[in-house]
Amino acid sequence: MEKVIAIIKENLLDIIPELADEEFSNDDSFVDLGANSLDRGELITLTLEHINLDIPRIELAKAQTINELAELISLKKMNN
Amino acid sequence: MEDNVIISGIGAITPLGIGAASFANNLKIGQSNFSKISLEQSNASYQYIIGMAPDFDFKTEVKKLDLPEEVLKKALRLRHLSKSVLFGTYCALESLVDAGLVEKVMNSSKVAIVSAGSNTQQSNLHKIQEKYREKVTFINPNYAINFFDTDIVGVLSELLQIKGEGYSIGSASASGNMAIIHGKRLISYQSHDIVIVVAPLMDLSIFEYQGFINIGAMKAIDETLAPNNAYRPFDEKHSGFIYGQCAGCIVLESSEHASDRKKKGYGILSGYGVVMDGNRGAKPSKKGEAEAMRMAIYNSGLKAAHIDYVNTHGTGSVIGDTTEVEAMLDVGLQDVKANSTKSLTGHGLSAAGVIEAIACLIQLNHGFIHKSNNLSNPINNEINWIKEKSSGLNINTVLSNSFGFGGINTSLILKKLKN
Repeated sequence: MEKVIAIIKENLLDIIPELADEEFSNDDSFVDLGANSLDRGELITLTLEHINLDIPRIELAKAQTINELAELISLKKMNN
Repeated sequence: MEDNVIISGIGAITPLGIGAASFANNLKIGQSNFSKISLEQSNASYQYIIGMAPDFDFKTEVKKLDLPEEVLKKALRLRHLSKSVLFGTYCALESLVDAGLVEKVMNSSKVAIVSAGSNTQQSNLHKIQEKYREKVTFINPNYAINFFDTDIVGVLSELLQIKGEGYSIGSASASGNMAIIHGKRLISYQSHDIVIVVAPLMDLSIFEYQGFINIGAMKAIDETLAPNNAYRPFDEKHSGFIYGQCAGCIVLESSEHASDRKKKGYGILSGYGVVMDGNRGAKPSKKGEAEAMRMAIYNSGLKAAHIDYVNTHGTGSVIGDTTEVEAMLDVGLQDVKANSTKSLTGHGLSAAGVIEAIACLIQLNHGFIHKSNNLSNPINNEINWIKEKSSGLNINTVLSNSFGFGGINTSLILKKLKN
């Protein structure tokens, strides 16, 4: 889970470089972090590519924060 | 047609330089910039001759433009844009700064964005497709936006919050002229005050290079000639076109809007002619080309004798050059001064019409006609070919041709502004 969080954060900083200068929590919503739906789609795809987990994107649609996304991905990874 | 549209801003990236000023200087000098390139595909290497644009870093170049801070900030944040769109975006911003219209177009619904060309990002799409060939499900979701030719329209609309009409117009190598013509229509319908006509780079992948070679239109590599001597429109030794990396933008503005803000501009976009000739292929038609020129001249309230200079389509293809000369003579343009801008820049394909309109405006305002490169022995002597730069001229009326595959023939008339 910690590893997945680190990957998500790394990808998020690639997508929204401004976040590097800001303090944010893993429980902030993606919307509050300035990510639009396209940014969110890219974040999910990049993260899945990084850990080589190929699952339908719709299964991750509910995740609104870094922690939620990491949790869902970790769960799917275990079951995959 | 009413002379109710002027060109108030220009921007360009060509093999001759970044920015309209360096384009103008090198047209004056008669500089060309052709070289050989190697492209790799499936562990094999293929050579072509091209006019390559200088190295271009969007962020560095856009910082040099005098843009409002919020626009610059947004521009620097742009991600996942193809080279085609980055070139076009730079040219659009350059032309709006040049026109003094950046603040005016922001949040306006009286401003339209028309981009010239279809399938302009082939090289970028090919690269992404190769990268994800074995892992298709991980393709970046931005691809779904990138692949549309309208990506540049969306980018400019977002950067400047432009709220009028927006779309791309494709007419093969006549796309540039066609987008300009459409812009004139939008202003004439009085629905828009300003139309940004942007031609992004047509960025070819190896498949388009080879397709053009195989159809017999593009000049294949020739070891007997140095790259700068290879491209020879209207010369007896012409043997096909050479691609040139070009992008450009012109800002069209209603004369009324321009005079209200006391802007003079570069010239008048007067009349135009567009006709198809009933032929899907690459074969040009004397009848279709002549008809487009006749329409443009007639619609501008002129006669052939009033045309001071013709900026030819002039691609250097044997049948293309021959047909265009025959069509010009048919229209009554004997002894008219003429050259081929492509002989210096290379053929920008869907961007050619916009680049050549800019070349016309530069020549009109500076009173010169640039040399037609490598035109040693013309295929016909009934035209006044400009083989070396001709200066000190009073050019009032210019005709610019662009013809596209699929039998699409277009001509524009540009006029000098009255003092």
